[in-house]
Amino acid sequence: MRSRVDSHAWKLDGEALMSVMLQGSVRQGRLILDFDVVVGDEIVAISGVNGIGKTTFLRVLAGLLPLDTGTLQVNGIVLDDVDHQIFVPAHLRNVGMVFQDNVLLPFLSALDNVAYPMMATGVGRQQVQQLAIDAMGQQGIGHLAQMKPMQLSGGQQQRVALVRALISKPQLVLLDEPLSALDADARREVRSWLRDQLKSLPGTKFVVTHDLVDIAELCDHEIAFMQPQSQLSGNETQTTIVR
Amino acid sequence: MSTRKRRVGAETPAFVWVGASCALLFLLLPLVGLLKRVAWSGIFGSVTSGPASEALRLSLVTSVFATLIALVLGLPLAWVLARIEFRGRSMVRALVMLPMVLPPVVGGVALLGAYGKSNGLIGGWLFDVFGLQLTFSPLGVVIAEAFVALPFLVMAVESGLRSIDPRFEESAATMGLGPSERFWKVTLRLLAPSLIAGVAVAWARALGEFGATITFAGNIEGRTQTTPLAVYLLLESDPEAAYALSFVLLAVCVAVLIAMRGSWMGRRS
Amino acid sequence: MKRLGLMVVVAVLASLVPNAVHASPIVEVSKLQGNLTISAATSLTDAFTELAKQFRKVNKGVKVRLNFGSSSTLIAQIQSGAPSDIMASADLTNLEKLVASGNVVVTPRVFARNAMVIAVKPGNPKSVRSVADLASLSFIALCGKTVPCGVYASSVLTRAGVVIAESKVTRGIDVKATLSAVANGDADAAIVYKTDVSAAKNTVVGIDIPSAQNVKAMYGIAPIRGSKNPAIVKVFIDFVLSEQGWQVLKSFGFQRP
Repeated sequence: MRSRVDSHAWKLDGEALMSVMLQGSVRQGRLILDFDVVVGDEIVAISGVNGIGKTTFLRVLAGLLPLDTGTLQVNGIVLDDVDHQIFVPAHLRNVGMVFQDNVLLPFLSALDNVAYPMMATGVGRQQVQQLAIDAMGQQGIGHLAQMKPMQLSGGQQQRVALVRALISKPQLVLLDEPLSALDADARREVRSWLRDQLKSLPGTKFVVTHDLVDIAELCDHEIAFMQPQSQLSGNETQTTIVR
Repeated sequence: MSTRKRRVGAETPAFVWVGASCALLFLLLPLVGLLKRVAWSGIFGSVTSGPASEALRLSLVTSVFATLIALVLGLPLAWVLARIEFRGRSMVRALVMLPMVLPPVVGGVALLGAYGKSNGLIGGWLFDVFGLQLTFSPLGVVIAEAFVALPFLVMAVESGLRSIDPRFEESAATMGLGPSERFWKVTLRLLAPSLIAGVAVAWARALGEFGATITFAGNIEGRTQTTPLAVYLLLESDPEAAYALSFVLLAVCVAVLIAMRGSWMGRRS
Repeated sequence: MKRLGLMVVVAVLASLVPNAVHASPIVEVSKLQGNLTISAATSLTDAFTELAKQFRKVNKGVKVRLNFGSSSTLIAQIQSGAPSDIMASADLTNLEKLVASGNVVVTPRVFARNAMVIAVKPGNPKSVRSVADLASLSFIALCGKTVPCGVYASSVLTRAGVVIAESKVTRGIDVKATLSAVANGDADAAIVYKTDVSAAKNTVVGIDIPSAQNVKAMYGIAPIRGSKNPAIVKVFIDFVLSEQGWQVLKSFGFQRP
């Protein structure tokens, strides 16, 4: 199955801000993805049917999956270049990611989970914990700090994962269905919080979502994953600009 | 609330109850029989003197060292088997499991073939160059015990590694942790229950080893006569001491198993 | 006519006598039916296997089960209720234990004698010539202290005035295991029965122990009380004690008691 991802962003004033440039292809099992993505400093929604490669796309950006051909540049830095044998692994990319199912470390408390990304930096432990508490408080989940992930509901885990992903102010934000576990009220609340957070971050933010409201209210731009006309009776690739 | 309790197990078919009860009886009856035979009044004296105490001391020391060896060698092996795909991997895995299914005495014979001073593959060389004789030595006991215990540890750890969602490590990577940091801070901690279970099983196996030990390391009082060997011999000459020793071994194993409860299932319950 | 008749009678009688090994004067023995379980010392393995084989040829209705082990272990098993019909022990002390515990109610019969010998690896690499030489070896193998051959070995050492530190002695659970420590393992020498060295053929070499230091290992046999087949037991024991039985034992290196 082949998917094509084409997206070309352009700013209204004509100045192209190329925050993420991904041209190449990758193969994951029976899935082949062709990329030709150029995106600026904005919040981008990724939509498409299940199994089409949205998560794979995020993994390539994160550095969890190397390209088979082509190159990936983020903020002018080459992260993956097959011809020149350059590959920057995930832990060296400044990435904030929320996986499907959140993936919080089960042996750490919620607070320690949130603080984790900052442990790798040189910041002192006390300070780190304070930052984490503050961030959680902002999102309204400060009271969950000492609980273990197992004790939290799906929605609570998701909120913790979101705080964790954004706390170290990453240059590239990858969110895989970040609001899926939340009920309608929580969703509204978190969505607006998320929008503020994402807007305040420089760099590109990718959000995989099926929710049309998410797309409308959160994102500047949408990339729809589709199967190419030549392969199956699917549609052409399409780029939708939502604004 | 009480209706709920009444319902527990109500839908279990009768043959399951019967089968489970029989199984429990089958396992517990011999243990009870052993306990019955122990002469409680003299037990302390029996195990703290003579060959019995020597055997206990030797067993405890050698089994701990053997388990350490099994851990140091087994963890990397389990990693390779779990995480790295290579041709012939299932063959290698089958070979690693071999000491587990091999009759222990056969294992002992095999060890002789490798490390025996007289006609082992490298045993003679070890003696000529280093003056090291593994047979009839406590080190030989450790080797025999490690040989039979290693597969148990590898099996537990490999299955533990396979059951870890790779996304935990990926998530840690996206949070800036490099490969070795991820191993120590994330993988090992996620692996902890399986690792502990593997160590416990390996240790228990090492402690109880008889056939390979007696064949390879011999049966020298104070040097290579471990507790199982001592029990076997004492059964004829001093049955009281034999029962007492058996009880001590049993008690130690029970203590470890109780400390380990829950870890078998991969999570603390 | 009478002469002819006499010749016929003689011829008939002569034809009834097969060669010496198969002499079976008791034709009705072959009607015996049942199982016979014999506990025998490990050192009797080859000899009793052959004895059982010959016994079966004449008594086709009897199934013989042989249970070999160190005499001390076998005695303990019988005292615990193991269903054995006959005990053939490498010493009389163990049989006396059975008498004391009531498992044997007749006087055991001595049926063979054995002597001890030093077993070393082929070529005698450590140049062992006497019991005294054993003290200078790194490791020797002896049977367990309560096993008959271990008791005999202790006697030999005492009589030779040789003391060997226990830390240099590996104790085998029976005589075959003890010998194996030399044949297949790293023990430099062992004190075992002469018959075992003969049985081991080329895997070990025997160094004689002079009779002044040696012991007379007396082998005894006795029926176990409560046997379900006392008739068969009697026939077998008689067979072991017979000239034919003795020939078998002799062929494996045992001596006349």
